[in-house]
Amino acid sequence: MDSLALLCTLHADGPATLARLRRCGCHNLSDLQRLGVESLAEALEVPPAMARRLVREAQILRQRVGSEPLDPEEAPEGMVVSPIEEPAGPVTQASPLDRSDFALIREVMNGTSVGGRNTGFRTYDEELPGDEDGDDEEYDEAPWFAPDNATASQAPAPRTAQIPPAFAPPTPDAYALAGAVDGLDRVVAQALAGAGVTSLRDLVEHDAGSLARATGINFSRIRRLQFLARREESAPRLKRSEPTPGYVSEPLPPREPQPAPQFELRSAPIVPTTPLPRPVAPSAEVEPIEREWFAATGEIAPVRRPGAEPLPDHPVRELEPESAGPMAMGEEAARDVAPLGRWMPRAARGVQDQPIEAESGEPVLVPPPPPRRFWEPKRIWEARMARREKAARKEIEERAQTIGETENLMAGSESAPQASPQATPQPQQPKPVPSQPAPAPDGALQWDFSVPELPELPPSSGMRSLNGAPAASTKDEASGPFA
Amino acid sequence: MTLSRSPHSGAKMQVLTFVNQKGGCGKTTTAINLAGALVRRGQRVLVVDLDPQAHATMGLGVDGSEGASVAEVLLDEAYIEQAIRELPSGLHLLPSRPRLGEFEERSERLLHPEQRLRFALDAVRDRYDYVVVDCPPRADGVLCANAMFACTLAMLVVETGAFALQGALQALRVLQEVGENQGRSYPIRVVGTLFDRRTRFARELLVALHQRFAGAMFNTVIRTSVRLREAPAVGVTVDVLDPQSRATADFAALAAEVMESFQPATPSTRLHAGAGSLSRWQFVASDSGAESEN
Repeated sequence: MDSLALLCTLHADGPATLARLRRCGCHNLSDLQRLGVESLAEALEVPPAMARRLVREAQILRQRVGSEPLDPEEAPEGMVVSPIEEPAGPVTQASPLDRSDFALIREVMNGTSVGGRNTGFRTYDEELPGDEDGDDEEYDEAPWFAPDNATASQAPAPRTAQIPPAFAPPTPDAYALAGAVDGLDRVVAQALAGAGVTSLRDLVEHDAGSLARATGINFSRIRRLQFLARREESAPRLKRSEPTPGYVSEPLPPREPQPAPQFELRSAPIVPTTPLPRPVAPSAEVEPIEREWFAATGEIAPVRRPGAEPLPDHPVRELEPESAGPMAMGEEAARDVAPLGRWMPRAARGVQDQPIEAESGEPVLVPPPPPRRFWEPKRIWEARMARREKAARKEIEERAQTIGETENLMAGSESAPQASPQATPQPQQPKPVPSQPAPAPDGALQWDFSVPELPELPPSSGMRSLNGAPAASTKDEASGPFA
Repeated sequence: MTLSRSPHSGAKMQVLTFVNQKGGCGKTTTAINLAGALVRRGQRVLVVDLDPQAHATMGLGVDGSEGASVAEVLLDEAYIEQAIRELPSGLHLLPSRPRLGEFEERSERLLHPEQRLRFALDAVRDRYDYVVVDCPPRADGVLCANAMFACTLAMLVVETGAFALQGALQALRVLQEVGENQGRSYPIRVVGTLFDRRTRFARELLVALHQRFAGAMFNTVIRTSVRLREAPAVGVTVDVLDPQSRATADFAALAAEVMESFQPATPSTRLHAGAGSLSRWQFVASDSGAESEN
């Protein structure tokens, strides 16, 4: 993208303007400036002010991008770039504007009328107000510039010779306004001087819009400068040569040094004072609170040190190497490890059934009494053991009674015909074992398939329930309510 | 299918690929309207819609759900001649459909999936002067690799909006990597779009783009226009919708510039990306588009 195309895209009608410029032999920004304002206006069919503005923008663009197409650090090796355009050609000498020129510019820029002709000029320097979509319709339809050829000849000839270009070489008065107000630097002062503004009074009296268009300075900045210039002009200024009445201009005579004030030291009699009594804390009779004293629990076992003998109620627990659980230390340790072993098997809890002798002489499996826990008082444990022993004895008696009744019943059924309950039970016959096949005389095996006869049960014998009550016999069932 | 002979008959078919990693920068709009402008200049143009969203197909008023599409062509299920459709404006279109995403999924199991479009276009090489390929926003996918393998000129579409310069540089890096992976090189040119002269930001950004890309950037910048939004809704290009509009003038100028860049005697400065190039990219002065075959 060359600079001329960029200029046409930024400040003109893009490819249409570019094509017109190319047709008239303008191929870069230098050609555009050499072309001149009048020729450019004629080629583009635009008013001279617009052509002048395009030339000015070309000057700005060439200063900005023309000589520096790429930053040095961004240019790769072996890059072949478009040749740098030649510097700007000679510019015409600036001449100050007069008020009539600004009035003409104002009419052109406002698009009202130039000699009775409606120009339809639109400033592209400022952003168009309003909604983008809404204005885009009109923006599409309206050409960049619509020259009226029929009335162009009737329009007064533009006094372009009297309007200097914005970028003229600085004149001696160019920097007269520099620093007059805040924001008025040398560049702005030079631009304003090119437009004929050499004093603050001129700056205040000129139209802001015309100055902005003629100098290229922002409109709001021009207004700000005008405001500051107006305030600077209207501010009262005091001259030292004319002192204000009542103002003492002569300095005061120097003061003579005054002696320091003398102070007399007076002595006062010292009167001994009695010391104030110390405050006494309020006292009251304190009645001791009766506390509940417990009886001495006896000698307290010393804390076992490592390696010492274990306390009887605190068996040493050794942990498994990698499970952090207690090792199987035996019955007591297992009991301590399982505080709630309700769901654990008895063997895991270390409970072993031990046969005890009942009063009847029959061995009965009764669980051994649990050991006393270390937190359990001895008397409570003894009472619990007593209850347990009592319950065990009662259960043993009941079992013995049940067993005795069963034996009596069984003995009665066998010896019912003899009616001797004291008869000793007959020793049971050994179960028949299949005899070995006896070899036959002829050598063949012979098997004994005879079934031994079982003893018949008495008719009164039957199953008894666990609580000792005789089960209902078939006869009783037959005599039941459904008989 | 009858094709008229263009003044450039006998010349080599040029494949223009519109690519940018950023979405919404005007790739599809620029592609179809530039194709319309080229047709207005008597060129035989084929538009290839490589976007699974099928926006170019819809923007040209074609229903891509019927008949063969570029998806079937890339999947070897149809010939390219069966899928090309002729539009009333003179454009030829290789439509797309959402099934094109299936090609991306199956490409891992295909042999040289990135060269399928190039092989398909070889069959119609003598029938067209320009092939305009509209790429999906993803620049590092297999679809964009197909377009890069087939292209003779990569056109980087840069929106003159926020993050435009950063996005353009990032897209250039991606194109550079794609060219290095493929072991070939292709020229790159930059075209600015969505330019609104009324905003100072767009003006400053365009100056920055000019400073950065210099001769690699087209002189024509596509400006914003309501007609560019209306034309896809109607299903025609902007030169058909409003021949007197500003957008039509922009695309006509761009078409002239594109045609001029392929003329043998017109020197141009382009970005050159691909194998054998410099670390990032390089500017090379080329005399014709034949350099793209290096």
